[in-house]
Amino acid sequence: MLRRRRPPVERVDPDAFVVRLEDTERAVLASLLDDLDRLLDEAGDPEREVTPVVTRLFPPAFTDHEGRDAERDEEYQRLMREELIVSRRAAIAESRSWLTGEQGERRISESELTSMMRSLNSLRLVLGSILGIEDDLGSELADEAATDSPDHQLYAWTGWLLEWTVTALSAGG
Amino acid sequence: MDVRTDGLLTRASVAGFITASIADVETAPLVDGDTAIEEDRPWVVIVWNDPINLMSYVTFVLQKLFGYSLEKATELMLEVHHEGRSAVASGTREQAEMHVFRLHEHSLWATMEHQS
Repeated sequence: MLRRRRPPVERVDPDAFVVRLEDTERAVLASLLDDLDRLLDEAGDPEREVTPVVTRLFPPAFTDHEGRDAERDEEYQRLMREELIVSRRAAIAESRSWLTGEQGERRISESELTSMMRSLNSLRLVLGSILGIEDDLGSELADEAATDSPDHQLYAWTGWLLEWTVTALSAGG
Repeated sequence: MDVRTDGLLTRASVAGFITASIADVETAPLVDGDTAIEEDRPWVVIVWNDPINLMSYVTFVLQKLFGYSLEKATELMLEVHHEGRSAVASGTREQAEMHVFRLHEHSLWATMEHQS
C-alpha cells in the first residue's frame, strides 16, 4: 500500500468529514457491505445453525448465570433480533449510498460516518470469526499474518480504517 | 453528535419491547413474594471482552452511548480488557434492555444480569 500523506478520514467541520479512499478501496468496502447485508438475512434466521459468526452478530442479552435466563433471552431474541437486523441494514445502506456515488474525495456527515463505523465493526466481527480469533493472542497473530492471506489483509485493513474513523469522530467539532 | 438514525430505531425497538413486557406483566399470574423481590432488584449491564473489538472503538462507544468522559470510558474499557468484563450501567429491566440493545447495535458483546 502506498504511503498516505493525509488521514483517510478527517473531520473538517463540526458535522462534516472528508473520506479519502482509493476507488478500489471503496469498491472493496461496498462489496464487503453487500456480503454483510446478505449474511444478516441468513444469520438472523432463528432456525439457522448457531455458529461463531451468528453468536457474535446476535449475542445473548442475559448473562444466564442464575439458571433462569435462557427463557428471558429467548424472549428478547424473539422480540429484538429483527430490530437489530433492521438497524444494521440501515447503517449499511447509509454507508453504501456514498461509497458507490461519485468518485474521489468525499465529504460526508457525522451520521454517515457513524453508520460506516458501526458497519466496519460488524464486518470485523465476521472476518475475525472466520479467522477463528478467540483471544488476544489470536488477534495479535492475525495482525502479524496480515500479508499471508486475503482474509487477514481485509481484517487488518478494516481495523486500520475503523481506527481512523474513531479518531476522526473523537476529534472536537 | 448526530445519532438520529440509530436513536429513532432504538426508541422504536425499546418501546415495542417494553410494551410487550408490560402486556406480559398484566396478563401474568400473581407471583409469590420471593419472585416479586427478585424482579425488583436492579439490573446491571455488562460489556464483555472480545479481542476483535478495538480498544479505541469500545472507549468511543461507551462515551457516545452513556455520555461518559474520556477518562471514565477508558477506565471501563481497560476493565473489560484486563478483567474480561465491566459493569457499564445499571437500572430497571427496561433501561438495561435498552442499553444492551444499543450496545448490540454497535456490535459489542453485552449482557444484563441482576445486581448481586
